[in-house]
Formats: sequence, C-alpha cells, structure tokens
Amino acid sequence: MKIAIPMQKEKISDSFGRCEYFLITDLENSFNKKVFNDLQISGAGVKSAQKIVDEKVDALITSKCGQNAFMILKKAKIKIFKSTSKNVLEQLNKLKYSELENLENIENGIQNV
Amino acid sequence: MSNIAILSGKGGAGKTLIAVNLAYVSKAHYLDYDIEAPNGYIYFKSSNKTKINVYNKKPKINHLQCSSCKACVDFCKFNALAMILGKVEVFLELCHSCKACEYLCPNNAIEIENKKVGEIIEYYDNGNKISIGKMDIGQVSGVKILEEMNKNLNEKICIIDSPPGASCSVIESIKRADYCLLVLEDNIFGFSNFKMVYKLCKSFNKKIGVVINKSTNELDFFKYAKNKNIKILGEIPLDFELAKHHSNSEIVSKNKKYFLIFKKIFKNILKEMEEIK
Repeated sequence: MKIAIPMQKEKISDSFGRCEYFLITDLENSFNKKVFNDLQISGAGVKSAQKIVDEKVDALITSKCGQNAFMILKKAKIKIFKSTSKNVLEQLNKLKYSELENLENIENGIQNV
Repeated sequence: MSNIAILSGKGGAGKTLIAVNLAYVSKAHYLDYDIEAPNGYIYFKSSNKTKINVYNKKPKINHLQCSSCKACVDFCKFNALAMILGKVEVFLELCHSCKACEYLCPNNAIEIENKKVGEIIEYYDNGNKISIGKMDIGQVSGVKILEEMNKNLNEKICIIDSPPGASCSVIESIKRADYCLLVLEDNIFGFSNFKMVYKLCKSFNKKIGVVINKSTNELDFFKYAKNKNIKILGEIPLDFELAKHHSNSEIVSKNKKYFLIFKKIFKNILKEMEEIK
C-alpha cells in the first residue's frame, strides 16, 4: 500500500495544503520519497490533493483536510486516515494494525479571498 | 470629474453617514461600494429603480472533447482546476475569471460561461443619482461588480461609499478616486484601523483628508495629524440627536444645523482638490 503523509521537517504537519513536503512511503517504510509543496496564493488544498493523486497513492495519513481536497481525494478513491500523533513511524505502525480511524471531520479551510 | 472615496478601517465609523450627507449637500452621484452589506439605499428612496446584472466569467469543461492533457490544471495560478482520474474538476469559488484555461486548451474543450455574481441598482432621488452594488448571497468575491461600477464614474462629482477594512473591494474603491476621505472614529480601535487604511491610500499615492466622527477628543489625533502632515477637514460631534435621526434612516443634512457641518466638509474637500490641480 502506497501512503502519503504531509510533513513539516521530520514530523507530521498540522496542515495538509500548506505542509513543507509529502512523504511517500509504504506500511513497512521500505522506501521514502519526498514530494515538495510550494507556497500557493490560493487553492493550496486543491494543489496538494492533485499532487497526492498524481503520485497514485492508496492512502493518506493527515491531521486535517479541507473541503476541496477531501472531495478530490474521495473521487480519486484515496483513503484518508486521521493521525493521532506527529510521529511518522508510530502512525505507520498504527495503520498496519488498523488502529487509525478514517478522517471524517472536514475543516472549512482558510479560504484566501 | 472628481471622485471622492469615503473610507475607514473600522466598520460603523460613519462612512455611510458622511458619504450620504456629502452626496446630499453637493447633489453628487452616490455610489455604494459596500457590496456585501449595502445600506445607502435606506437613505435615498425611489420606487423607480433599474437593475443591471453583473456576471463573472467561469470555465465549463466539455468532457467529451477533453484529452486530459492537464495544460489548464498546471497553469491555473489559483488552483481552481484539478485533474482526477483523467477528468477535470472546476472549483468555482477559487476561480478568478482570467480565462487562461480557455486560451490554453488545445482541444477547445473549455467554454466560458456567465455566472451571475450580483447586481447594480440605479435610480434617482431628487437631485442625486444613486448606484448601489449588491453581491448575491453565497458569492465569495464581488470585485467584478466594483469594476463595473468603476466604469460609471462619469458625473461631475462622485461620492464612493467604500466597504470597511483594507480588502480587495476597498482597493477597487480607491483605484479611481481622486481624493480619499478617511473617517476616523474617535477612539483607540478607530485609530488603529485608521492607520491601516491610511497606509493603503498612501501606497496608491492618493491625496488624503480626515474627518473625525463621534468626536469627544478621546484621542489626541490633532497632534498625530500635525506630525504626519495629515489634513483634518472636519469634525462631527458625538451627538445623540444626529445618531437618532440617522438611525431612523433620515438624511441628517435635511436639518439646517447638520447641513452646515457637511457643507463645510465638502467645501474643504473641494479646496484640497483645487490644490491638486
């Protein structure tokens, strides 16, 4: 299973759309790829979701997710799991033992108007 | 032609009071740019109003013609487009109507549609021409309405009743103004927000004047104004009677006492504008 995680330095980011990079890995952490995110004036969530979709991942572990990104990820049939801490290895382990729940609370997001 | 924009950082500082009354005493064209919550029409009445719809240009994807090349998605600076499993999705509220996607599409799969964003209501009340901008409920940005209203600044004197703050719509109200009249509410909150709008008008190199509203001398604004070389064009006292009439949707200048206050402010603005020429 290919997994994406929004990151800030070495920890899981508090934001999905405005994270530093996405870590692309699998349950065993057998490979690592960094997909960098650049600063967006608007639609950061859409842009980030597009990156995740283009990476053809199966699942996303994130602390939050906005409405637009959520819609895109759902349509692309990517599973969204809610992170319970900022530690990557711990969260991958939890996902492996089905201890992470699906993210259902959609943030309204900060629209840049 | 002289366009005078009435601005303030804080809401409820007295923009509409001053704009409506300046328009009344000068028989000017009154334009309500506060499209999210216009209220100028409360003071100027008429049963004969004309409505002009304003539309935004938004892309519509013809999926049969689309080859999923992603040219539009990759270009869109506002990230209003996404490609999901070979299908382009449009996020209308992020779109800024630049039409680049239509231009870039190699398959002519993008058609530009008109989506209503609001309306401009025009009418006359005695000697005043009135234009009210009104954004539809649920819309995110109404700058297009103001761009349309900016095309109608043709009268000898136009008074622009700007929205509060320093957002895109405020910038649109300043753009074609020859003079910016800043309304300062006489307290710390009013002063703090005044500085924000002052900086904005300065960055546009506009001529600026200040009217102090609800004046109680709480702030020592005169000293600040002297240091910064800001012209104070008038003071409106904190007056219960005035507030009462204004709240009852009356134009307070219909009363002689207040007429003189606003007439004096208007004359001061004209004098200041003479100096520009």
